[in-house]
Amino acid sequence: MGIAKRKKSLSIYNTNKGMSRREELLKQLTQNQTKLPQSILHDDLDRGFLDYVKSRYTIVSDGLQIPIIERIMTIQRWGEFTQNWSFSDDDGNIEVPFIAIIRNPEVTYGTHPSNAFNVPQQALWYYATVQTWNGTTAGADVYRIPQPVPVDIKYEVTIVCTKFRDLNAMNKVVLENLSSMQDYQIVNGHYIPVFLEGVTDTSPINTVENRRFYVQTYKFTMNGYILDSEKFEVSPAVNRALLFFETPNEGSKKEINQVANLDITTVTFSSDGVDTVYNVNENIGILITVKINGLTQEQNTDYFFIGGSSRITFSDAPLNGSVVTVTYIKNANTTLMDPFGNVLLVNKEYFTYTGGTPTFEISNPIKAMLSFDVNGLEETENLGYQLLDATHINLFDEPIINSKIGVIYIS
Amino acid sequence: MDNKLPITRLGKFFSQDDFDLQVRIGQEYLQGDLNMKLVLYRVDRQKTDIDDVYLEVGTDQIKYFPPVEFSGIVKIEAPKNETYKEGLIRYLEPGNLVVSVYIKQLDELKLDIRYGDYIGYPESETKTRFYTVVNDGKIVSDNKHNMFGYKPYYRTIECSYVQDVSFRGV
Repeated sequence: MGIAKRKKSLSIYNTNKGMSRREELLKQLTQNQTKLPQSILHDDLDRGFLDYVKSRYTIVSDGLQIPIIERIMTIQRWGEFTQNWSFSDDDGNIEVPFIAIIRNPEVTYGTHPSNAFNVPQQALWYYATVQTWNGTTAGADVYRIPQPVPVDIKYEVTIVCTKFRDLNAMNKVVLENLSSMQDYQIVNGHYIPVFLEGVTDTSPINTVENRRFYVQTYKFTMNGYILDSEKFEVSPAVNRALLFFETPNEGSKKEINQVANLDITTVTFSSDGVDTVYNVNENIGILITVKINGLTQEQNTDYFFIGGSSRITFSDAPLNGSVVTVTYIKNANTTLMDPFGNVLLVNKEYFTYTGGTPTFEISNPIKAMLSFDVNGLEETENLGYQLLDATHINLFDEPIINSKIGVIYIS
Repeated sequence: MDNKLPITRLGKFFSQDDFDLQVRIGQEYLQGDLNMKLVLYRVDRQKTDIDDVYLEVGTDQIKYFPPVEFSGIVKIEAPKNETYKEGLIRYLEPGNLVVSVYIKQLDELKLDIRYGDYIGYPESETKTRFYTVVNDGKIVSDNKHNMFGYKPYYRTIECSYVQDVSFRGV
């Protein structure tokens, strides 16, 4: 009796191991990531199913892999040959054997488990709060996304061949892949289950006087869902700014005093070209700026605001697609105090430049500048302007005559 | 030696000599005037190593006898415009090849055309199409294949188109 044959090496793990596997997982988790899930739509699911068949259904016949038509077959006649030319004969006919993938045109509301709980009317729901840091200001963004919509997409994978053994090979692979009832395909980072609904045979083998071949169709259902990144919403949460100013003390020694620790909130809207009223859904204590596409708007001219309310009303609706940005301090901070208990005031003053030296005198001694703009375009301190003293601001370059100068500051 | 039963019917009007004359005239017309040639690739069923379970063979694994040229009246049906899958994955391929061949010619060539054999027909100088025999027409008892009720004199072979991947004539 001979010695039993043993395999000396078994490939147990098909994937990477150890550190390389961990790096692979990290790459999977972080590639193309913005902390939001990737969008997944019908064509993504279709592409995913094509990849699924291509990667999981390798059938070899006579030493060659049975070609898979890597496109969803549709009714456009011209498209068929363009996809099949590589394994077509001189007449343009696909050479048997081959595997084709057909998607049922109808897509029904799905049976994916995500259907168990519903957020009505595609309302957005909280997804994550993500810290932000732009190099100056620390803050946070709130990510909100709609609930994914479950869809069931049915596919038919058809093998056309002339040998029974090819049918057996296909059947073996299908049953092995779905031996646990369902299989999975990763589509844009989402794990999508795939089920086998059944198999049918439409082989024209009863026609003795025609060319004969086997046609077997495996019916799959992909329990996917639709998640459109166009509907994702990222809105700034609380931004925190520290304002400092310097004052000479009596000993002519400069000291830096903290004016206030302000909770400044910035809310961004997208204009539909119709609405003139924008509601931040909380009472605005101190309104700092209102901008359209980065241009600072003038209060009581371009927009109106009633102190303590939550709404900004424009005299004319911003253009469709414009970005409206409202920066404010909440109602709880209506009264600003410095560390010594002194009340601070937010002032807004507007000037019209009529020529001459571009120096503007403000009404109250400035303690901190919040915004300085020329015709809505914000200027940067010491680049576009400078403070000459507590009540005078000088522009470095002369603006054009009749330019509107807006100054928002704390006194 | 096989017993032979002489055919004596129609003896007052038609004899074996008349029958042979008619066949010779037909053969002269077919082979001399029309000169329609086909090539028969007979499958060597003994040497072809078939699958034990499914009686299948792989591509290029069928063994053939040396190809034989023969003459016949050729009729090719209209091309078939069909699909593999309910309107999708369309194919257009030649219709069936119907060949009428004199029994006498087959006897002279010591040839038999059998179900499953392959026939090549040069469609043009550069294109030869291959067909497989789906009806070898061995039963010639009907009136159509019978000369005036005297004896059968030709066979009708019907063949279906085969793709190049199945048979390439080599």
